[in-house]
Amino acid sequence: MYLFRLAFKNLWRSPGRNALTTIAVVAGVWMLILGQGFIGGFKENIIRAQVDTVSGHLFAVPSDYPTTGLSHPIDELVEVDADDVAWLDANTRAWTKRTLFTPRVISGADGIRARGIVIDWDKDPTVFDRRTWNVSPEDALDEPGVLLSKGVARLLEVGPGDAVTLEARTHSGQINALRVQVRGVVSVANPMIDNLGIFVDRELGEDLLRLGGKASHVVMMIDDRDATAATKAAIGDRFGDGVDIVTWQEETKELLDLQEIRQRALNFLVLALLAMSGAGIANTVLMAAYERVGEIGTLRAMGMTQRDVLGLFLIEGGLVGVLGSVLGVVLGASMVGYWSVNPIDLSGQMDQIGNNIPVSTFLWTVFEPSVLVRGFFFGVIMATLASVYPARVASNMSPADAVRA
Amino acid sequence: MALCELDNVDKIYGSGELAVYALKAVTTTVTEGEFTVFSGPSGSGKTTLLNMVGCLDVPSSGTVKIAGTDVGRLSQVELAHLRADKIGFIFQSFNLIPVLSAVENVELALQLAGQVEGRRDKASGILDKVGLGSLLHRRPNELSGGQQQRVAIARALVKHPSLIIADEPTANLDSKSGGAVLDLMREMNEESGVTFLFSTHDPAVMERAKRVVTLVDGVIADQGR
Repeated sequence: MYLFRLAFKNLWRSPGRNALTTIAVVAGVWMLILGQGFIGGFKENIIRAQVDTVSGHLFAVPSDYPTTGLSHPIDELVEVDADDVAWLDANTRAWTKRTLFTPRVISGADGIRARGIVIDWDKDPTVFDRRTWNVSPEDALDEPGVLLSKGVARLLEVGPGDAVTLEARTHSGQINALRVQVRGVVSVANPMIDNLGIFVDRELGEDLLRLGGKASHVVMMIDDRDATAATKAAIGDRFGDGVDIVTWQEETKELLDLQEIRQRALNFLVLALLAMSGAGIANTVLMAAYERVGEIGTLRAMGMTQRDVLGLFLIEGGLVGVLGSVLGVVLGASMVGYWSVNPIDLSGQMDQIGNNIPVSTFLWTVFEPSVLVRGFFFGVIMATLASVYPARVASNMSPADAVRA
Repeated sequence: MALCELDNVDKIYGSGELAVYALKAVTTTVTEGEFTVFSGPSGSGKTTLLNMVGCLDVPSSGTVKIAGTDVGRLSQVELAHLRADKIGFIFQSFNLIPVLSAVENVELALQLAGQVEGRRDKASGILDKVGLGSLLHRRPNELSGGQQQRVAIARALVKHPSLIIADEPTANLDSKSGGAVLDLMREMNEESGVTFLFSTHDPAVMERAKRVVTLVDGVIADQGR
């Protein structure tokens, strides 16, 4: 215990130098926690963008439905009969039908190929979380109609109240066109929809595409998003051949795998930062050892063992680590905690870079207490380990030589 | 009764043609209760000899016995325990721990000697005895040189060692403070019977010594008996 008291008092001999070293530890631990928070957030962003705007927890599509690019065929569709409806009502938390198609949206002489989504105006919000939606005007969702994404609205220079023409092939392959009025402009925090999407009410969709009540996607939410396997098997049996059941895990796998690589890169970065902090601590403790050679000699003369001298310097390094880690955890936790509730809106930046990856334009962090605990111990252990070499230098000094210094 | 016995002790620094004898065939005995000075010119081996006796260093050859124990056969840990229990040190530059107050410096000696009970009382008592009862909580930088050396004396004495080694204890003090410190040590020697060994060429120290051993070029020129 006296070693702790002595080490604590020794910390105040060079407060400036120790403060700088502490800041290095704070930076390392803070980076670790913040980095983990953002990486966790990125992962959650990918999942939420997928689940909340595209796939729900799992969805049924016609077999061999293309999963990439702007290809949304409607020649093969999924039929949902009354028994299916009863089953879905009984076995899912919520479900809805969507039909994706690729209309030409024409305004005057301009026209673009868009990603159309036919939605059930009332049922769609029960599956897809609309808290991140930004709609103009605010009452645009009150009545069914056509909503343009902000990307389409910008490209065609149209807005609420303007008329556009939607041109598309019907379910049976004929070309059809409708002149419709735009009810509003929407952004859903998913660039895949915000850049080229348009939402069309099911009644209008039927007029345009002649779907006959069928849909390209039957999207479901279940109580536990991690328990999709059992539901997938049950729905697979229900819909039979000709329909594929896809889970959110399958849809996001590639992006999450990419995220793992990012995670490793960040871990390497944090490790490099902590190594720099460690070098700073080693330097501080080594300087302390060389400055206090005479004192070490005195302590040895008074009967302090080599092991106690080693312990004294390790404790000094460890205390810097504890202080730095506590401050790093507090700083990191407060920032991660804040951004986990108040996400950073990156939609402006996403627009500028023309991102087409299904990642939410809101960047939030994931607050995990285990990361804080890990960050704290990582900082303390790193600081203590960094003190081993200088502590050994101090403890191996010859008492006869040291006492004369 | 012999407290320290040095038998044919050599201390050699370097090797081969570069070997330098700091001590050469030193044989002497210090009995309990002595107040002995090792004197001689600079480089004569006084400090090296005290390092041997104080178990801070070991001889290249020969034997050093403290209270009958051959220190050359002890491990580093055993040497540390021997220093903690039986030997007190007083240094030329006082060597107090700067982050500890006077009383904490004295307490540390008790802590290292494993004397845990009543530590604060013992430390305060001995500081009172050396005239620093009102300065217990002053840090070394708040004390004069003479006061610091009194704390060092208290620190050396508090654990009731058999032997106190004082390496040029008055070198950094003015003559008045140095005289007072020497008188105090002499008083402690007579009062508690603790053995004092000095290295010095200060005449004031030699005047007060019961015995003066003279060293020249690492060899004892005069045993002083």
